[in-house]
Amino acid sequence: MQRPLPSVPFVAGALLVAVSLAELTGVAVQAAAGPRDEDWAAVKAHLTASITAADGLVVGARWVEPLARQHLGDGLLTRERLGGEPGTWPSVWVVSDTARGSFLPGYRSDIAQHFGSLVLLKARAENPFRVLARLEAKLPEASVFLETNDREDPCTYGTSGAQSGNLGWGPALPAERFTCNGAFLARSVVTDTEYRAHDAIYTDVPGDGRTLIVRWPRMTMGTSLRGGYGLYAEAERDGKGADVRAEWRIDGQSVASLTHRDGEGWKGFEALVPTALQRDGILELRLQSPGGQRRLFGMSAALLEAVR
Amino acid sequence: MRALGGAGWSRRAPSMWIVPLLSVVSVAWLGLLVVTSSNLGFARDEGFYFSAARSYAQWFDLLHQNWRGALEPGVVDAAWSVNHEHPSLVKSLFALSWLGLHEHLAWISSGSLAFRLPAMALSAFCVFCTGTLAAEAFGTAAGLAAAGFLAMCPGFFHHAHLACFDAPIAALWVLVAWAHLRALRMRSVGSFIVLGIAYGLALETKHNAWMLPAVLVPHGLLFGRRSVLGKPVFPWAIIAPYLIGPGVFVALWPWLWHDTWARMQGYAAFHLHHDYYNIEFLGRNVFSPPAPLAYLPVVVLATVPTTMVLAALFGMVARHNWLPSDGFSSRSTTHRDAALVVFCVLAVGASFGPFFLPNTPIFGGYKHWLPAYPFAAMLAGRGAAVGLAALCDRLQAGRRALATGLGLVAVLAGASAVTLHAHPFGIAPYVPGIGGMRGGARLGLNRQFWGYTTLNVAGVLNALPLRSRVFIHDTAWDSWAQLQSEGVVRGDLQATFAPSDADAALVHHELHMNEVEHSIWVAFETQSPKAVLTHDGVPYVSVYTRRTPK
Repeated sequence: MQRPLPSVPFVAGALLVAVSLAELTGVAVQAAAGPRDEDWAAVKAHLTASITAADGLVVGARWVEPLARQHLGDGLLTRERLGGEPGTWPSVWVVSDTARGSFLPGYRSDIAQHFGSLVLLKARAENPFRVLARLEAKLPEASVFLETNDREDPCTYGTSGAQSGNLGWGPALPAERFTCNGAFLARSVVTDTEYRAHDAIYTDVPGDGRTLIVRWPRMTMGTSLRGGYGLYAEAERDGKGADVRAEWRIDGQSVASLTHRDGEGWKGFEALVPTALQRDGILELRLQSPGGQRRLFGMSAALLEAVR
Repeated sequence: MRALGGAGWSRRAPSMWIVPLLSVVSVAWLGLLVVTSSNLGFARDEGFYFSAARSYAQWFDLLHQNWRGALEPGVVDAAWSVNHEHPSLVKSLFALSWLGLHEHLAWISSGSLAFRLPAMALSAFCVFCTGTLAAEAFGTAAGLAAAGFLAMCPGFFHHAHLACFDAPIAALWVLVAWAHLRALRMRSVGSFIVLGIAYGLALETKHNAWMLPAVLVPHGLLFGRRSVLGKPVFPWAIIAPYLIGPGVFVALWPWLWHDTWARMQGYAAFHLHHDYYNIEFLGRNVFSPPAPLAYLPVVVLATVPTTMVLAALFGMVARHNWLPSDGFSSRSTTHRDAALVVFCVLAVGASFGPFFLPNTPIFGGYKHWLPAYPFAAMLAGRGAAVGLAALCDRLQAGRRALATGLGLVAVLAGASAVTLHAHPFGIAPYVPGIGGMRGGARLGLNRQFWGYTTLNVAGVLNALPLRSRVFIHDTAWDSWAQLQSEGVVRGDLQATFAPSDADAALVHHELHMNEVEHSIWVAFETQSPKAVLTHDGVPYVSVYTRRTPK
């Protein structure tokens, strides 16, 4: 004689008890499984011994980043590494709470190393290159002009108090910045529509037919100019602002003409430097907008040289 | 609350000790809320309600001393214009509790606890009523399980602590449910008046009461059109709430005593055209309607213990004849069982429904559908009772009661663990099924809201140099002032609202708040916080200090 099948209520009761006990166990297990201070210390020690100035360092999971910054410190997680453009690092270290085999297009990752619950891996660009200059870092060496009706008025570089505000205020103005006729230009951190940080040349792009010009003298141009650009999230969220146009020139010759339209978010770009211009020269960034209302714009770029 | 009874509804009453037992459970739970309140920081809303309650308390004081003067229109408006975008009943209770228990009698030394106590008491009352209603309709085990599921629903547990309206309005929904079911059964003038008053109190608590007709009307039409003898009856139970409720609403809200219609319109307009708040959902910042269709289901599954979800689903579909009829519990009538099951389904549906509409904004997470949870808990209690009865079916009567009791403990153990472990970060109590707190973070789900975790970094703030200026980020000024007045945060620390003006800066980690942290990097010239408050390894608040003095 066959035993009767368990009834639906019996199965439901058993399931509820089992799930509840599994939840009880899950809470205990998950509470004990997070990254420990010694895991971070081990990652820091490994990176300190291994990382080079040319290497990028990114945090694979965004929610882990505050802990990474606290434990690894400014020496490892520099402003450049936190806000530098993806694709401008010849090799990149990735620290995360989960292993990621492929995290960036154009990079090939090595075997991951585990430090407790943290994972560290290194990836290299599939097409090798070296960085000749990060232009946001070279800003103090540049000259800035506000062009009105073909007349260039120089902006002065000086130090005054940093300015910042609460949510919605916009990117902070650092203490060191260029100022001229109500305009400013500085190196700051611009938050894009995905709330990511960009270490960028930052300005409120002027309207009324005026053009803001940043000019770097005597730069070694390499083979390409690679970077990204966009507006501060809250300035483009409504999608009602005027376009922003950016143009890169080398020795007066245009090599890249870029347009940002509200709602596009942060966009990457790459401009190949013509062979004839692959030498020392004057690099120029020109910014303008038909309407100058809260065009809080950031541009991040690096001069790269392909390695054969 | 009296047990339901009478012709057509008659049944074996639940165990005689259910009411005393639920009373003990509710009071013990209230005690748990009180003792766990001190490490739960002040949400932005609470700061506003503290201020409003102080203003109302002054008016109550004046009313006591000079009632004629207190009723002067200018005096009424001056006191009650504060935070007039929300009804005043619960804030009045905050005011009276603070005035009586903290200021006059000094029985409660913490002002914030005195403000919070009425909401805690209403929440405990909600647990009691939830258990009682479920026990009356589904049996004793279901009642105990329902009370347990609600008490240990992490979202309800969290909001039950706060001097806000979300847990109180859940309590008022349950009170209205009780009054409605009682009115359907008794059909007496008194029962209709009680129902009308209960609905008025709900209106005076929070605007979630506007959704109650979507429950009361269809339920009344289904279960209240005929007398116990089957004759058609005038549906007073359906009409009474709208005849009496508005009067109670206006009578208890002094702001509406003058210029009534315009002010009611203003109140309605405020909520019908409310600002949209940012909230992170699956790694994306949602800041305007429509809410993603998956928002509510995902958040419910991620924050309500899985045991409770499964029990509620099973409780919703379980057959009446599966309910236990002897031993630990007793069997209700089909009619009573069906009436409460349908009411619960309608209540959950009415609470959830607006979040699937195209124009309903996301205001900030699950708290806005909190009134669904007592009813989900009743269904879960029903499901658990059926399941446990089946598990214990072959045992002898004496052992069956003991085994059912142990089964209840087992069924509630998971939810209790989730709830107690999530505290004081119960705004985002992610369940083990999605990976706990880290699972929620990995999924890109919201972690906190409105800067309530400042209290949890008080130790770091209190170690700052004398008279340091602190960028308090998302902490409301009133909440900061309360932290200082209670000595949680040193009184010499000065709040600022710009990182560049500060010596130390807080960041409450929410996706759209990243921009504030990026500003701090520039203003403080460091990316490395001095301290990061974490729970299960997930960051909640970072505290920055300047590398060099400003």
